[in-house]
Amino acid sequence: MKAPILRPVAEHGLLVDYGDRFDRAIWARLIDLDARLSSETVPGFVEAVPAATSLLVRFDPMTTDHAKVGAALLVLLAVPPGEEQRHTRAHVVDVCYDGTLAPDLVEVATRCGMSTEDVVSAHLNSECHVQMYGFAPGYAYLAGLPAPLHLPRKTAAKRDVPKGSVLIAGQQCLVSTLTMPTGWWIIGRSPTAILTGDETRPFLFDVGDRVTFRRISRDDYDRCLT
Amino acid sequence: MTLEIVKPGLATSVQDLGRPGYFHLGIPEGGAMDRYALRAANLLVGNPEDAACLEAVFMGPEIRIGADCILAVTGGEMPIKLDGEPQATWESFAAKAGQVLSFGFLTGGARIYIAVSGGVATEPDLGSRSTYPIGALGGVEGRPVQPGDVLPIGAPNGAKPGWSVPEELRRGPGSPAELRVLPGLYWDRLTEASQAAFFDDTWTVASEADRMGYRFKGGRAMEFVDREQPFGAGSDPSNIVDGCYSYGSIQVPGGTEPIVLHRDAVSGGGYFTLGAVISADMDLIGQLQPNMPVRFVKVDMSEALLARTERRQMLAQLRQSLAA
Repeated sequence: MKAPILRPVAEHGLLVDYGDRFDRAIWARLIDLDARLSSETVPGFVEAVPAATSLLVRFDPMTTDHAKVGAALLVLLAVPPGEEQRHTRAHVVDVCYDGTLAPDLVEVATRCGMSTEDVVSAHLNSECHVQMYGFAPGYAYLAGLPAPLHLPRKTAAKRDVPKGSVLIAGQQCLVSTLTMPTGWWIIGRSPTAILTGDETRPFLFDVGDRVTFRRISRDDYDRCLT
Repeated sequence: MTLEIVKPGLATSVQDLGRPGYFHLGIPEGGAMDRYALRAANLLVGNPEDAACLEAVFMGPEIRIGADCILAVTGGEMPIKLDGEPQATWESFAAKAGQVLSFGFLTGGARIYIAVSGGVATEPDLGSRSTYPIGALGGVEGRPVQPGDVLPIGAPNGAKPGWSVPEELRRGPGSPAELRVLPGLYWDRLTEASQAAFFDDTWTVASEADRMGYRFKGGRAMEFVDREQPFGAGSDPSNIVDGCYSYGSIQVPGGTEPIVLHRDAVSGGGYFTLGAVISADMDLIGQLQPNMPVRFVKVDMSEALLARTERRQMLAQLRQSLAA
């Protein structure tokens, strides 16, 4: 694995940057690093935000600086990962792929050269993991869609896409938690509650968690929401 | 004790110093756009610096006072009236039960902070009362205030009228406002000509200027160094494989109009960022109005840290001057 580039971000952050090619091993490395960060391992540490190929490490510039934080990060990166496994959970997310809840399913099937049933099967067979949060609160980017479903994003965003929409783009999938515009493809709707109402754990997923999907009927979907 | 919202103004919301620690879950820190002004308002009425106040932007609210209390208004310049009687900004004053606090037209800055002795005591979410409408967190039901809202206020604390922030400790943007920038992250994706133009051009604040971010227009469009877009990134040269955005980062969708990400900005996405406004100047952005001219000024790390130290010293002086 190539060494990351440590890029300064304003006076209060360093980006641990592994470039722009997503790779499962690199991501595992970043998640492992994220789990090891604390004010003991990196004096002045404030918080870290993981992304697909990078990790933003924020620190207090009044007590430390980029050079010291960078040196501490390199020490942590020199320890091979995997010795202590990050604790992850498995979640099953219910999805209804029917009709109006899946407005882009037909176009996705056409673009992928598959039947709509094949798209659903491929999605149901994918084993995703929570890669990062981004875009809006609770938007967990799930990585691990099978290659036949990899599509570029739409060229124009669709407005007012309802919360609970199951979206795909590239090798990622997400279940939206707010009614927002999106340029991703809408292949279903989930009634699974992502917001927990719990202060210590506001969202169902932690970064690193595994996610699989279970198909439900329109009746089951409607029943879940009542 | 309560405050009753008679008229809400444009987008008046409950804010404190925000909810740090949830950025990795996509929840921004939020809180007052001008943190210094919020701290000053609280100190003037004897509150802890991080108590919740009302942040009003461009247009003030009309508020009926529920019980005798001490008030202070800081930040932008907006004439204060208590039952029509003018009151001074950056200074504490007494209000009686039943009186109505209202405001004239904004004459400087963009946001005012209305502090009341005891602090706004709405229910906190995730450790903060700051209103974050996108996530429906904090404030009154997670939204800006509306007519008829009755805000609970904490217990009074012995504050006195007539406390005042010395003139030299009040801070507003110059004109053109100067925002100091540390180039970084994807700076090298821009051509040298574009790098120079960013700092040479005078920009103006666009109408899309809110708690999520401030957009700037009027400078030259940016040119990117040629490269092949990686799979997973959008097709425009301003797209990247999704990464995290740091607060203060300057993203440039489409390479045309820079946006400085502010308190309620999202934690990540697929646009490149060319650098960041230094933290010492983030409060200033909260006091910028649309159409104001702005220059971006290039600084290095030592200048950024010096500016931060100066801000710390100013805050220490403020605390000292208002120490009871």
